[in-house]
Amino acid sequence: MRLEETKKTFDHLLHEMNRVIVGMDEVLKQMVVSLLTNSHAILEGYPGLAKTLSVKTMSQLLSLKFSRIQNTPDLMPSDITGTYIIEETGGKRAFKFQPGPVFANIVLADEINRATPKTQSALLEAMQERQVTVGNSTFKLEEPFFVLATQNPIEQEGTYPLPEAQSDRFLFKIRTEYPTFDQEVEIVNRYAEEEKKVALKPVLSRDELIYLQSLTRQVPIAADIKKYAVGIVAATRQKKDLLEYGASPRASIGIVLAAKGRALLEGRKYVSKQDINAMALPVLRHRIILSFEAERQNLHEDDVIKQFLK
Amino acid sequence: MATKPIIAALNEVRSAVTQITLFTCLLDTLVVFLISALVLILVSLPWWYGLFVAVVYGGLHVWRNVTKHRNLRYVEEKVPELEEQLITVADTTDRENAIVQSLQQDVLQNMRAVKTSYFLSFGRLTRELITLAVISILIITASAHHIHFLNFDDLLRDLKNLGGGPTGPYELGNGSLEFLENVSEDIYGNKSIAELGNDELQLQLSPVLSDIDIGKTKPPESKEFTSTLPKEISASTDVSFQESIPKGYQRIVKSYFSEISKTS
Repeated sequence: MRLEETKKTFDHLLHEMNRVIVGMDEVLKQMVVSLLTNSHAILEGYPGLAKTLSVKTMSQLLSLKFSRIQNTPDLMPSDITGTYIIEETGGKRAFKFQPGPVFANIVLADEINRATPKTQSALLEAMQERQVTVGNSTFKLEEPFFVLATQNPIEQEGTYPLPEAQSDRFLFKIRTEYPTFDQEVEIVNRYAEEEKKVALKPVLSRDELIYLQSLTRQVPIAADIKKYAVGIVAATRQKKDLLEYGASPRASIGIVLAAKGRALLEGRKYVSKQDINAMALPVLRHRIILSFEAERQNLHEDDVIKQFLK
Repeated sequence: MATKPIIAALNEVRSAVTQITLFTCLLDTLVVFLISALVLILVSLPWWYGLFVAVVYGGLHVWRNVTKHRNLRYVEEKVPELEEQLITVADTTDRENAIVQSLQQDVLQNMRAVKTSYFLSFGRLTRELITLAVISILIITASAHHIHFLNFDDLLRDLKNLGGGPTGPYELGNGSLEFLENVSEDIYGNKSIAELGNDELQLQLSPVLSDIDIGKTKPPESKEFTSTLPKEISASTDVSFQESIPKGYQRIVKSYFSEISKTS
């Protein structure tokens, strides 16, 4: 794929996704950026906002191996990573590793906060190390490896919210909002009328995606813009009145990387300040903890982050 | 090793911007110099004092502007097509990859469209040239007609005297005393003193008062005398001053009359 063709490819990809998903342009872009940066993302939103559908659609368009894990409190780590089973061949019995759903390119971990911390840790370890250790054997996960976890901001009873250290491993926390009235009418038109299956053709192959991932890291960024990004993250650690805990240097890496991905997605060969501003919200919102004062003022994480953006 | 085209182009942009900045700074400094010179002429001070003002202003102005304008952000402000691209390219000249090379090509292409006129404000240039012409005319006019709104030297002297100099009656000093010798109503001296010479004086000295008891004598007290005279002693101009006898002759006249009094 030539450099000049990347913009067209992304436009085509988003266009195809929009054939299935209505009014989630920014969410879809952030998902693609997450994929380009070879990172993982959490999708947070109320039930029925097409979180799962958008991930499934993306996997279809990327012709990648897709698997889904429906997290429940009784889900065991081995249900995710896989386990050894006894296999009998020619009268001989032998242990054979049966890979779990984590052995896929795109893993949808639905309602991740419903799984127990032990199971969450197994998944998060796989995300971080990109390998799974079962017994004495270590199995490498195939590249690209992209985990998209979803969680519900309501119905918190009986759930195990991800600790800050764990959620820090996700590059983005993508927030899905309710559609506008017109968008909702369009959704009804598409899905409540005569069922017409949208035929999706793969837009990107696995190799092309890996090439684009390597290209993302090559996008140049000016020193001033890099300092601006780091300045935003550092500022979260100094705003003691509104934030109890600020973001870690991992957030700085995340913002710059995400901004590179967005620049490539937009067809630009350099990172702009706009990219930093656009990516600061999804990168930082799950990495900061509001103070009591901020909560008293009914401020949201995004409201506080916006104070740092110029 | 040959310099990369992008590095050469960036150096060229920086040098062009520096030249333009120096030119505009020179014009600004000239305006400041002429304004200073005009003000100095109007207050009767040497016009070349303005050179110091101009040198200080020019130095600071050049330093501030050259530093600011050498930053490629300034070029980007003037050429929006290059916004954020130029600084990115400048910061990544040491990197070699497909995207960086492609960006460098784009920037080189866009830089061809950059003109010197982007960095010159013609409105400001015109205003400055008009100002220079007007001030020059004013300087010539002020010099030719000796127009002074204020004499700075006089002003300084007046300010110095404001602090409480002698007003009204003079303070009596040595000079004044010398002058007082010659201001009596009668240049022949006091008549009563003159008549005293004809009377017989009968003086009796009391021995008690004149006896000196050495035992009672004390060592002389050291007293300090102020050099200034009491304020109540003052001198004022007199009519006899109008005789205007030159100072050199005053002693001659005085000795003449003293000789006369001796002989009589």
